[in-house]
Amino acid sequence: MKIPAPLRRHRWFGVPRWIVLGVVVGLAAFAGVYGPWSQPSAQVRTIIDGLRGSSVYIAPDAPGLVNAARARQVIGDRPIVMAILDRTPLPDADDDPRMVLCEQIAKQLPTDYIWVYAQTSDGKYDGNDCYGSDFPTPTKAGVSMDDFDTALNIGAQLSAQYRVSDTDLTPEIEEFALTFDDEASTDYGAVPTRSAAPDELAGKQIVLACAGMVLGTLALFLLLRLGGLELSRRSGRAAALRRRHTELSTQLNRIAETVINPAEPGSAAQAHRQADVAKRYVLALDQVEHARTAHELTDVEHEIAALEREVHG
Amino acid sequence: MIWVWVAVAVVVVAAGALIPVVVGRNRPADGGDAAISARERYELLGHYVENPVATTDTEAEELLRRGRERWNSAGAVLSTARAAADFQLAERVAGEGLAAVTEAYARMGIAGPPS
Repeated sequence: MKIPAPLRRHRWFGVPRWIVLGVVVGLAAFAGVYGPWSQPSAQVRTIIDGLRGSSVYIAPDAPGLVNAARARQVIGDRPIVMAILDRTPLPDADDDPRMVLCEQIAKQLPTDYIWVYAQTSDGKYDGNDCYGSDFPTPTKAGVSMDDFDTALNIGAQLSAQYRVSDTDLTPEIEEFALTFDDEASTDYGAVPTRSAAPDELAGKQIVLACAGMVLGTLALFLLLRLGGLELSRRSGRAAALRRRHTELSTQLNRIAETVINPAEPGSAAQAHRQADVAKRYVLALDQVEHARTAHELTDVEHEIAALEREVHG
Repeated sequence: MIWVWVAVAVVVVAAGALIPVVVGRNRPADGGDAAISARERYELLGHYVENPVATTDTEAEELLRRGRERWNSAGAVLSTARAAADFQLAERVAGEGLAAVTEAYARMGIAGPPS
């Protein structure tokens, strides 16, 4: 494919400018999508890694208030995962710090319910839960995800309130799993199952993604620009036709002057000739007004040239 | 968030690709020197044919009438002119009118348009 001249004219570093800019925009988009600021924190990455092979991640120094083995058993393949952290206090936040961490995990596991057990700066070790943005919405008419979530949490809390103690929080997840089944069977018709945690991108995949974004950017730019240039070319051709049209109109005006104000005919033959010129003028005027293509304009150009020779000699 | 970045990139690329084309298409008429020259010739012709001098010379009268027709035609071309070629056409038409006026004035024995 031949690149049009306007796209080859301006160069930076010996490379056409649009390619340099396309690469920069592609790299910027890649950095935005895969850059360090869009990556989860080290803590979230550790939790996600721990959740690849199991529904429960337990930190090495977790206090033992939640029985991880029992939690795994009751969760089964339900779309619920759990992070049981140690007693290192979570950083303070406007919201519950556990909820903040929960939402960070939910971004990586958007189809699951996530439970986070951790300690806050007030010394309290407790749990909180949230769900990912792609968690399926209830199939029952009139029931929203908020309705489902509220019913699930209230039901689970009510069931667990007399079973949990300061030294054992495991009943919370047991009741949560049972209430989940109950609410899901009502609102979904069937209990959803958990999908696998996303794999970490390998170096090769990252390079491919980068190349794809850069090439995609260049292809999109080239496609749009070629489309734009084709439009310009078409309008240029239309302008050239319009110009020829105008030029023919000015020639016809000159002839019209003679047709409208004819010289006194000296003989019948001359009168006939004037009448013939007037007739041809009207026909040429009609041809000009209806000429749409270059070929039609060429035809009428010949006729007008012949008329001009007839009129002005 | 990913879609936001992708959308931003698409908007930037689309703007970069299409803005130069759109700006080029919508640029106002700019015939440069051709436009100035064409308008100058048109105005000059108008000075002689808008209120033509009275004459009994029928040939001069016809030439003035032809000059007036060329003035009208040049005005029509100028009203839609956008490119230099359009202005050149208008200048040529106005020049034909001035030639007719010059000939008419010569027949009447008075000074015509400056050449």
